Amino acid sequence: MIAAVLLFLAALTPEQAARAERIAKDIRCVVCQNQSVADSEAELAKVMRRIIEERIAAGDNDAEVRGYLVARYGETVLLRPTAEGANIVLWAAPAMVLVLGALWAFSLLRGGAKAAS
Amino acid sequence: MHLLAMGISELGTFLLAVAAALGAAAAGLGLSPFARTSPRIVALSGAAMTAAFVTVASAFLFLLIAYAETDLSLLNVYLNSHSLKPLAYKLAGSWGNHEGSLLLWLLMLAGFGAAISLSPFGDLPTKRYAIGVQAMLLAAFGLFTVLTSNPFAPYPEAWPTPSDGRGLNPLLQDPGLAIHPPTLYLGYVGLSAVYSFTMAGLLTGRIGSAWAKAVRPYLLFAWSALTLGIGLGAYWAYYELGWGGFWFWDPVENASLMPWLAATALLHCVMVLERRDTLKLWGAALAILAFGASLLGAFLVRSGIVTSVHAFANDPERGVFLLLLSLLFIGAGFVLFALRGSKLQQTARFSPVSREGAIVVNNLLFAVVLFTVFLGTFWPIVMETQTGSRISVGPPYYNAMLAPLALLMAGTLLFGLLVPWKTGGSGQYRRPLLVAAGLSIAGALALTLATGRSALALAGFAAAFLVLAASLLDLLRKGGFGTAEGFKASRLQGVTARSWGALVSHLGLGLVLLGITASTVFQGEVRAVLTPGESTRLGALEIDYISRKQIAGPNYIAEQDLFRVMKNGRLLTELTPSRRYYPAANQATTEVAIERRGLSNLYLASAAGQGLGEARIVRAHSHPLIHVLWGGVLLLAGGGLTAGFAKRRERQRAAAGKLQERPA
Repeated sequence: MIAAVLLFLAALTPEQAARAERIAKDIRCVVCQNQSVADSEAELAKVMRRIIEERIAAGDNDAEVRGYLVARYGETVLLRPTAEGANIVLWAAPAMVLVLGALWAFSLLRGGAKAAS
Repeated sequence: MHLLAMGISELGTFLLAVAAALGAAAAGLGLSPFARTSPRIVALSGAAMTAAFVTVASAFLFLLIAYAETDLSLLNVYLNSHSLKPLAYKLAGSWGNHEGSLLLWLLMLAGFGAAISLSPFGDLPTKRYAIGVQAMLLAAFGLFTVLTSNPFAPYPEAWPTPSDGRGLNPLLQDPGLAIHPPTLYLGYVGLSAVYSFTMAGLLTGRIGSAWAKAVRPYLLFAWSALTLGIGLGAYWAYYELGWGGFWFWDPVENASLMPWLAATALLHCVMVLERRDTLKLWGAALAILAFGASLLGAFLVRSGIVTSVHAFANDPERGVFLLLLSLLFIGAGFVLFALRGSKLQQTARFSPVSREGAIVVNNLLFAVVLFTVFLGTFWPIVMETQTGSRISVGPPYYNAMLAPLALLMAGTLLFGLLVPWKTGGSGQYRRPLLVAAGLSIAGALALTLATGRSALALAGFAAAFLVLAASLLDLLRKGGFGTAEGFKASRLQGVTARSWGALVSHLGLGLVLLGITASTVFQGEVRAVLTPGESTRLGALEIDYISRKQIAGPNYIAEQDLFRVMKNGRLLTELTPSRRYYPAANQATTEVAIERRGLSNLYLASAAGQGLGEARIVRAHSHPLIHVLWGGVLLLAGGGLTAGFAKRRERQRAAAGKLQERPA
């Protein structure tokens, strides 16, 4: 198996290897805690790293590689959650809170300015 | 009473029951609507509280003794200790489990209660209610401990006589982790005093300058402890978990960060409240939120709702009950807030372009960060229960969301430190503001472009430089920079401890941001599969795997690798990472080897793997400026303590100084 890993590593151009590393950093190692597959030495993490390298060698783009992993291991592997469906809340809600809060702060500061003058 | 005939089990249980009862008595005296507020009532409930503290402290001492002696007549000692453990870890083990950690929690609750009782802060009714609320917390958690989680429960007679204890999670057998949870606890429980004063303020309708002064020392102490606790947690993860990272935005890490964020916002808010008699509602809400987040932080860990490497003392059933108890106190806080909040009069009198204005913006941004962390932590749980799909919210999400906010906050800090209180004045702040902001951002941009890094690096460096520039300018201005006389070091003698504290903490923050950014952006990393005799390279360093040997520790056996690190053919250092196996607990750990070089680290870990034979997987990282991060954490906490324990006389002098400044 190690030989296979090395074989595939050898098959990737440095650019592709860097891409593989970058993708691996954002993929959760599902059997470990607090680690991406790039950080982990668990057997599954090695397998997943190899899959990433294989897919890249096969000509997949980054999104396709991630899609392949999601199809195989579930959405939980994505450390950067998608913005699809209900997940839009995750990405949009903080901005909305910021806007609402800014309105509140604005009214408060304006009130303060009036009282001060 | 056969006090002397009692075994340690009965004695400890008895003490805990007495403490809970004393708590209930103090709560009754403090909160009873039938007794009029009088110095006698306050003294009496305060005395009950202080007695409860002494009682819990004795119980805690007995538990420590039982652990030191590995007294197997206690079930708790049997389950969590072992006679072969080093003494320090025996003692630390007493709070490294569910029951013992609750006793520590009680000790701190009672300790802060006694501090409220004995300190001169707060007017009579406020103090009375504050003691009452704190005592209620003590009584509730005390009762829970005695009934469900008694650390003094005896070893069951029906069980076979034990020969020795069952050890402790070897991951916990580490100096970082022995002190990390209690430090965090000190912060969490410190916020209980803030909560109690807030409830008292809502009850009396007096949340204002006096309330702010009463809350401040507890808040700053709790905040410093939280800062240190979070820092220790990150440090522990860094050298114990063996993957080179210190923060993963894991639910438990987030749970400790949330009260810190709320407390940080609150301590800035309290400064405005103390001076301008405004932001009362917001301050009260933040105080309840901060303690609520602490309770969540402390008990989410053991509820089994989230999983994490930091989770300890896991016990889902009792953990969930503790969460419910916590929700009760948080709920009570917000109900009282809703009922009494409208009674709080506020009069905002300051220009938007002022330090107060900056602090309002700072509070807003802290609230957004808090919300984002909350959302990221609980969204996967919502998704799983609602749709059944399991998702992760990891570092890339937080980095993307929080980096722009961090940049805005750093800019606000620079602005806030440069503008005067109350009014923007004649606009003297503008030139230094523009120069400092321009230089910081240009510096960050140049650094990012020169090294070909991402937008994230740009945001991180810009935020760090802005905060560092703000601290430096603050120091210069305190020395008279910008005035007609110019900078004189001698003028710094007149700076109050409180201002020094703020300055040191802000400097620490700048260093933390710099350390985080530099150590992640510029980190070098290499992974290789090596057998002894082979070598790999990390930048200019050559790492030679020399040999491997077995060693025996006091309660573990280990496999230790020897590496030589060479630079230009010269031996730089020898490193010995190892893998330990603890037979008593049947657990294995990785011990990384770290070589400090100036402010940077060389970090080396080796791991075994299936089918590797003699080979080991070797990972080496370089982490530039990581010690700037650790130093920054110390400065942050140190600044908080300095400001929190500024002498009262000094505060009065500061107040007098303010009066003289004001006519301008």
